[in-house]
Amino acid sequence: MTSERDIELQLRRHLVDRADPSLAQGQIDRLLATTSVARQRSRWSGSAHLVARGVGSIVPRTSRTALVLISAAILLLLGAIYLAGSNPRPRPPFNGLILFGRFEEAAGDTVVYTIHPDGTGLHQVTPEPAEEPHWSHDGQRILLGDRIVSPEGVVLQRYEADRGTFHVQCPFFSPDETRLLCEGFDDDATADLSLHGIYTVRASDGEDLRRVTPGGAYGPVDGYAPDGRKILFHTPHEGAQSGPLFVIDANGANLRRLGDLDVNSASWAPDGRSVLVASQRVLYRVDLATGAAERIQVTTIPDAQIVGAVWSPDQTQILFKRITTNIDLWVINADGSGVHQITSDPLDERYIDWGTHPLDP
Amino acid sequence: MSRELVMLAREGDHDAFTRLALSSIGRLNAVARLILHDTTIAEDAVQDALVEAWRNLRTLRDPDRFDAWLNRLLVRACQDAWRRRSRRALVELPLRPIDDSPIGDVQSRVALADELERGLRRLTVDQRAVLVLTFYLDLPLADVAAATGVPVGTVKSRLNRSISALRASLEADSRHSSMASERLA
Repeated sequence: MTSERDIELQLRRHLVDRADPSLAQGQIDRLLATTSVARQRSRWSGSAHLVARGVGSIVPRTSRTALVLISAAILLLLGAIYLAGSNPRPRPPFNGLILFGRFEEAAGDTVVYTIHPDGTGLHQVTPEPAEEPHWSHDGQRILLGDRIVSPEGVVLQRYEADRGTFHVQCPFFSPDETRLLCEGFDDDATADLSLHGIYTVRASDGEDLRRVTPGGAYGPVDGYAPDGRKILFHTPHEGAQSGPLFVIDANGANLRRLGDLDVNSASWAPDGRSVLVASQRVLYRVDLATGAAERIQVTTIPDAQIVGAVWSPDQTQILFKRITTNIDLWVINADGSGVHQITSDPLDERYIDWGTHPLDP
Repeated sequence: MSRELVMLAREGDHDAFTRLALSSIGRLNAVARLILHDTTIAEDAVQDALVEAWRNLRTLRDPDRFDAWLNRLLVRACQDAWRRRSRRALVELPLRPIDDSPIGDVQSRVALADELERGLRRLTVDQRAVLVLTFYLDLPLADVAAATGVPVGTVKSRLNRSISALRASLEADSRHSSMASERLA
């Protein structure tokens, strides 16, 4: 029996023996060629913090009395609505908080935020980094791949994402919230790659792993159809960020390619009849029945360089990621009009979802 | 690593960044190759990490944390590169058949290196990252945790599991070699 100490000594010697710090041919040239033309991002300006803290701290004292009076009036109005028996919360679908991830380079990871559709009320959801955040359908919970949190960041449930070397990342709830839709992959070099694919697990405990896609099918999963009967995913070409779009029944039947675009991202329309995709930095609506693609153009910015988009819950607006010197969030009306920018941070926004959680008053 | 160089690079001095990159790239290459066991993917990861470092150097508040920050970017780049490869490509890694392992005292060290290598290949990228940062870079647990983005407790459990897996792998290979020797006798 080899002792742990022996293993550590042998391993330490082995790693030192095997370490290869040599430069690859042209490695420095490639690096310098890239960095010499790449712009450095500006230092964190703190503007987002101002937004996050709200306007109270920057409002002059003379205006505060007026604010207090206005607030009191709003409270009285809300009280009157309540006493009249009306429900102050609108009935779904309504356009609630937007959820997104921001890649914060200093932390080297993605931090999850919520924000109002008008760009105010920025709020960091959890202190821990997370990937691919998505709302539950009732807007009361947020799925962060391996855990569920409340919009206030309280951890409600955790899942075991690692099953040996096999990893299961679950970014989507099923519409009835009984299952989670997951991507399964194995990063063991000797793994059976035919196991890679789309899976579901039970939402209550993360168990009951069930396979959806056939062997060898894999790629980022793009969500359940609103009726829960179909699943959308795309499969990037080797070495590329984009690839064909597929739709499959939730029980694994009827796998088919949807349309002929290579897409970078895809998301369901709330009515389940079409899919919003970003392809070659252009936004399209792809018809589920025919696969026909219809371009959606931002009226005032014809070449908007769109790299991802989702519908608002009421399907009247589109939230999209636009790449310029960095990636920010923008909103347009369904017909491409009414564009407005909602984030302008020097860091890149990565994942987006628009839910029905009520906006902060 | 010079604090002054980091501060200059942080202000946009590309020459200062070049000197920082030159002083770091050997270490980054070695670490990425040990973690990924794939030269091509490792070079991509190092490139990604250094480009990200340049683009975001202004967000680094403490120049003295440059190396730790670069380690974090590199581990992250390795994980991303490996995940892309795992999801999208079939890459055949040359594994020697177990029966080809040299047998005998003279070649025992070579055989041990082969066995360790096979054992390391069977680990996940996350496990290898923890081992490399701990036993090659000799980083303390807190720094390994910072570089891998997980709590110290997780680092400890990954270390334990990785060492156990390596030991099991070595013992399995040893049994297999003994059986092969008996068959040849």
